[in-house]
Amino acid sequence: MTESIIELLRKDMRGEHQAIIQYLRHAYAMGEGEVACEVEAIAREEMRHLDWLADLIVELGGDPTMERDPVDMSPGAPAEQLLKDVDLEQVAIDQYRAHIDAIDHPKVRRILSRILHDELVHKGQFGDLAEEAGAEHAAEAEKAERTELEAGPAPRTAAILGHGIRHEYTVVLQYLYHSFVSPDKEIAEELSNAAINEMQHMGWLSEEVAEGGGDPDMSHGDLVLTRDHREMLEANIAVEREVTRDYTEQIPELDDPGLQSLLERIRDHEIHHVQAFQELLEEVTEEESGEEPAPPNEAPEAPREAEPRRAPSVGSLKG
Amino acid sequence: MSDYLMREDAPITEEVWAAIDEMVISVVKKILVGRRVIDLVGPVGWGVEVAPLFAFTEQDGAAIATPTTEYVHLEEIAEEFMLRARQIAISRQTPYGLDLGAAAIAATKLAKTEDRMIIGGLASLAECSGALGDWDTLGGPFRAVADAVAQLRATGFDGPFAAIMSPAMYARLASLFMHGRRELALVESILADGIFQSTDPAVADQVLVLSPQPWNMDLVVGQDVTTAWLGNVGLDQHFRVFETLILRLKRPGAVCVLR
Repeated sequence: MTESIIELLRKDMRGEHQAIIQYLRHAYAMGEGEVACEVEAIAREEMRHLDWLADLIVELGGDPTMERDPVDMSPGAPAEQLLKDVDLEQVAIDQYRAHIDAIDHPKVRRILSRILHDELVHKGQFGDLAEEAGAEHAAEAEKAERTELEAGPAPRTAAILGHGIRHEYTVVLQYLYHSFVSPDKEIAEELSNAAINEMQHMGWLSEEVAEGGGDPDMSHGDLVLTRDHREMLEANIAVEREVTRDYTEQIPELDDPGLQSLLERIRDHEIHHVQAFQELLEEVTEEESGEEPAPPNEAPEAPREAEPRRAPSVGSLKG
Repeated sequence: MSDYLMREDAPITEEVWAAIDEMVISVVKKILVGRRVIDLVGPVGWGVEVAPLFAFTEQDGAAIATPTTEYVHLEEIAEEFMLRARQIAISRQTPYGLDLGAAAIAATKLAKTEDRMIIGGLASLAECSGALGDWDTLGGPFRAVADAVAQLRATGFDGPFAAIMSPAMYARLASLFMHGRRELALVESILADGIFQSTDPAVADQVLVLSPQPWNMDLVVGQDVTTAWLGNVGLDQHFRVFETLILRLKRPGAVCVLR
């Protein structure tokens, strides 16, 4: 019985994942208008649903899935795309109704009913937004006639942005999975925060691609899906280090100073992630070796290994 | 050394790191002026992003912090430099050693940016001002500084006081001498915390007189000046010198600008 509930919830997760990517693609392609912001807000609600579904699956002893149902990648005017989103919401509504009927588990039914309610609201919102987008698009088309359209990005720039989006999407999924399955609250929270930050990066890079007339490729690389804290943190540190090096090499290749500083900003965030994961890994190591972690603000009594060379510091120069 | 600086990943030896650190820190120490004038809090760590900035008032005759606390964000300032693979090869294979001029240039720029934040910040936030007067005539500088000190004392800021001025203004002050009377010595007598020279544009044509006690102002440092490895660009190595900090001018009346 539990197995079949888990399977239905995994199916719901695949649908939420599909919706997130479809809505984000549509929002990125619309630029920074009001409609795009509202579509992104709906995508964020779908992320919350994904989180709830993953929590339920873990609670029932299952494994959350990071797979997704096929995403419609066809181009179209904003209003057309939003009507596709209306259709996708209807698919979700039908699916949740069927799952609520099929599942005899009070908590799962309660949460699915809550999600169903959101999807009904989303369907109405997308219908209204399609009308607004029609008007917004007409105004922009008129503006575009008056101003010469910018040339698309150079092939190397497009390749760098594409590489970045692929990395960011990969780590979003990887960190989310790790946060779903980790029983350690601190680790789960840190990974969830990192995933949110990577989603921001994915959005920034995708908007750049869309602004240049391109279409962000929403595919991801291999995922390290493990429940072992050490393995997940080591994998996450490795992937962050790799992308830090990639971005560092790619920044001088970009001609646009704005893009250079965007990539620098993202790279610096990745450095912070390495730091955060490194600290968590140290705590995991301490726990594995059976040592009590040092209380806050108190140094451990003795260093575990030879004291590393201490770099000189500037400190106060007064007096 | 924290690994988030990626130092352990850099393909350079401990000796090269030691040489880079020594160069960066020694250059920064030679150039910085702001840290000689005001107190430092920290380093509190790179991860600390904000610092409380209290303002003070009176309640029933007692001094007390205002009920709401403002939080100021620590700013990150950074400069980058690169070491060519060829430079490292030369240092290993010849007696010339490693030329760290690029690191020194980055450290110099960083130190000047820090002083810009401190000295520029003090000048722009100051709530007291006075006339610079004539600094080419004996008695002129002393009168201007004494007036500033009197203003500060009158508004509740007691000494000791300090001044920050450009090397050009200091030279004008030091050149005034007549009948055994040195203008510089007179001015120093009322500036017990010292006279500091800075090339910061904020004091290019004005002088700051201040009461630099920590209850009036301080500098919060998150990550103190350090060098991180950013990666390689081809065979060359890319580094960043950076720090996080914020000036807390708790009582803006403690700084008087003579212009």
